[in-house]
Amino acid sequence: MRHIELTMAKIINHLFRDDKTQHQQMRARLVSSSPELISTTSINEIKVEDIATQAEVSKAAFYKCFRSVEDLLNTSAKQAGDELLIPIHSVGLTISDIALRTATKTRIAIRMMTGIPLLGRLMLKVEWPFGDTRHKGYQDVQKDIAAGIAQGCFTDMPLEIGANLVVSTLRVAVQDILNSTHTEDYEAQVIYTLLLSLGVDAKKANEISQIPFEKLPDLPKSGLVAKILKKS
Amino acid sequence: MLKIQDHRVRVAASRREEMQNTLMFSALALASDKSIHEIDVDDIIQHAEVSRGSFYKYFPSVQALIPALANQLAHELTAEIDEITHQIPSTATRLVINAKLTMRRLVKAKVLGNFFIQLPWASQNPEFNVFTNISSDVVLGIKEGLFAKMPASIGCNLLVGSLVGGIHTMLAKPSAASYENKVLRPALIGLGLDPKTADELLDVSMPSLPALPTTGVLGKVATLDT
Repeated sequence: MRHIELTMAKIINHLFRDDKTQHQQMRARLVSSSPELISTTSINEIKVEDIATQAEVSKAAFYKCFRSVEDLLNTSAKQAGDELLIPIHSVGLTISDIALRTATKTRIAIRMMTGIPLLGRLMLKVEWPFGDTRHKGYQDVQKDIAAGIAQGCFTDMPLEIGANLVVSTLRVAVQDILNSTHTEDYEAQVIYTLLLSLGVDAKKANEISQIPFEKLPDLPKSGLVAKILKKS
Repeated sequence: MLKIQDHRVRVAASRREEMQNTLMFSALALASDKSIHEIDVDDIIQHAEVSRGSFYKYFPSVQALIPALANQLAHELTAEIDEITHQIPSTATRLVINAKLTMRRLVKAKVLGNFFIQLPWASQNPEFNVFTNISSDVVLGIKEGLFAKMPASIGCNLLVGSLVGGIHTMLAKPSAASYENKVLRPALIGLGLDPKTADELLDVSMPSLPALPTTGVLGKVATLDT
């Protein structure tokens, strides 16, 4: 009897584990189908049917993994964000002045996202303003705000307010540039305004925003971003 | 005969409007528990206690209802706040009072705030929206030389982005009244005001938030409040 119970327990466990792996695999499969999806269908017109056809899964299987199309796009965007953060973060580490670091990281992010319009449009799908405050990208921005306040170059303000200024700036810039509603010195102006709002004095904000842009760090070679780049 | 017809037309029109408002209000109420992307027709007809056919008489889909609701609420809310602020002569003062009243309204009536913070960024932007009056004062302030010269979208988004972020935080946790100023101050400085002017503006005494109107979708929100 005891033996049977033990065997039973094992079987149930085994089933559960399998189910969970299967679920994760299905989620991963759907996320990795998103580059193809956004390259063939306008991002605001994607329907569950399109995803099901693209990833060769049933609609029911889709709904087991995601609540809606937006949920999938948001998850994909967050993953792409994780990938972009790696090169952006490593450039940031080489700059000790926090105002300059924040400006440079924001500029790199703007350029990476607008350099590949498909990627930019996907990134605009991240929940806003603070869909997920645990997201590494958001945490990274908050850390820089805290460091800037400690260094005395930013005004002492609640961290989420500072982080929201950076995230809002990034969003408007990506949107304006993708919609070509921007002027030539747009990037300098948006960075200047951001630094000013964070409390950097006008002279320094102006100097930093006028610094010519050096080389964009390499985009990740694998993963979602690389796939989107290939589709572009 | 003519008179009777007129009467019928009028009654029919007001019934249609009432039904439309009922459906929109149901979506609004549901948006506090569910993402606006996940509300379906079943949820709405169940909440509104109407038939599926009635829903489709007014809207082709939930995706079509959401922007219509956003637009309707924006008109009702701006009319309400504009009533108080339109006679303030100074652009900067009007902007600040408008911004604070909007924040207070959306935080106090949580169903409104919970709905507005879910709208995608793009629709916070181009057409008419709840921040339209605030945005047009930013544009006017740039023209008047009150704010630094910059593309209007940068200034508008700095302010609207700060407002939406602030509303989001205040909905999530009760905050002191001074939090409003903390939200607005960086935006005003970013627009190019010097810190002293910004602080003076933020200290301006505030008119009180009016009671919600008794008509329209807001009229239905008012019944939730009490």
